[in-house]
Amino acid sequence: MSYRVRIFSTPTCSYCKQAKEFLSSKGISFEDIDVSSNPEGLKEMRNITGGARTVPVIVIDNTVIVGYEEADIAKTLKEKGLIS
Amino acid sequence: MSTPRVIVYTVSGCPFCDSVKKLLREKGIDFLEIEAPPQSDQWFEMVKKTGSGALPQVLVGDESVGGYLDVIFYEASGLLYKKLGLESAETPKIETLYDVIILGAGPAGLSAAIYAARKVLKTLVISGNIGGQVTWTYDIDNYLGFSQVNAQDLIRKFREHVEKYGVETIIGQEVISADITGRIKRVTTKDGRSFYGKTLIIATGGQHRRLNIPGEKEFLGRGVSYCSTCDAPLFADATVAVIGGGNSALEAVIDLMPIAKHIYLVSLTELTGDPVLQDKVKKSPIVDIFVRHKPVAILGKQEVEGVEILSLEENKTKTLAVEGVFVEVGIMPNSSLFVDVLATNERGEIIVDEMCRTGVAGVFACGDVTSVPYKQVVVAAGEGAKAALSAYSYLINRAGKSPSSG
Repeated sequence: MSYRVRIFSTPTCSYCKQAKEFLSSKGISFEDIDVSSNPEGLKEMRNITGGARTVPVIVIDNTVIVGYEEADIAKTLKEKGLIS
Repeated sequence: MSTPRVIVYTVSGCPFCDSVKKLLREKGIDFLEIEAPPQSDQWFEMVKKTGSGALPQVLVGDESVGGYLDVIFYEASGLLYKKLGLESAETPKIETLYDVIILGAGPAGLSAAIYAARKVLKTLVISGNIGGQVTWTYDIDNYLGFSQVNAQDLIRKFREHVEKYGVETIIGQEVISADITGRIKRVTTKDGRSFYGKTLIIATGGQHRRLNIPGEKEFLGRGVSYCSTCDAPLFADATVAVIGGGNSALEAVIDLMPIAKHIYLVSLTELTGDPVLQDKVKKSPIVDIFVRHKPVAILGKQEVEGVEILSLEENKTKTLAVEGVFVEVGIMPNSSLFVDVLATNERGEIIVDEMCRTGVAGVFACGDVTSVPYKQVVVAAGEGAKAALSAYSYLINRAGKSPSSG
């Protein structure tokens, strides 16, 4: 199954955890990629962001959001019809 | 269009004049502006009509309404349109008047919210995020009742506690201005909404101090990081620099030691962090320490490729080839909205007395934005409780006084 929402995170990052909790609270299922233990995931994250070296990175369909910006995430989820 | 009946006397370079004009425009109220520099004919005319030489002055026809703070007061109490003789123009919207508006939702702000709610004060919390600086850490080991608690779990508990009391919250909004000297405090958020409170509690906390050097902003998230806990794992086998000499800088180095290939620690002064941490860092074969060195620029094209540092002793610069720069040079209080009005110390922290009073009636401050020493979660929570109780006592003491007595 491929997810429409993916999050690149590290286990020690509070913002990542906050972002994941926010997604769960909206009933969104997502793929969580731990880039601290997944070099391929890290490579992919850096590719799609044009070189970002910070987490979280949240990908919703083809929209990439760097950092935990709740308003941006909510707006994108709405635009993609994932929440009403 | 007929000549507006509302007249505003102003002078250039007067912030309250700009504020009152902005407010009237926001409200869709037409007005005639008359420039009245002190001692000018217009100014004498204004003094004659209003009995006051202070600028701005708002009038309807020949009748004086008052200055900016009066206009805010009338707006907050829903009387503005009536006062301006515009009642028929549009239905006036009565704004909510809160007993207390709390800015910030870290331990100080949320603790204040709970104490305010338990005193049955009508409370509003406005904050960019929930948790404040607690979100920067992973575990907390020194909060009473928790020998170890995940920072995120603690924030969730704080939030649930506040929600239990039905406190109104606006999260994710930045406050862009605050008028705090009048009897009614007015706070405006970035989306253009205004909120009114009888009291204000400032619990805006702190943010990472920046280096303010070229490249720092450009490469944020592309090698420049303020959160080693979050981002250290992204620098596996990389050479990185950590800037700073205190505990957080040393802890960042320790976070990076098992991950990075090589670490430069660059400090303006001798290292000041705990000796235990210093020992760990000094013993590591992969750490090079540059004390009395100042970073002057972060270099790179798409991403960080190096950092240029200046030796304060030799006055010579050198470039360290690094992929990452972790900035750990302390905390800066989020007090910029208030520094013009409230007393602050040399670090920009708001000075408060033992009851969290700021010196402006009805305005209280607590937590890391204040001069109170020891930036700890437990201290901030305690100070937040004090601020709310002080606000309560202020409201009780003011109850019964007429609106015009302020």
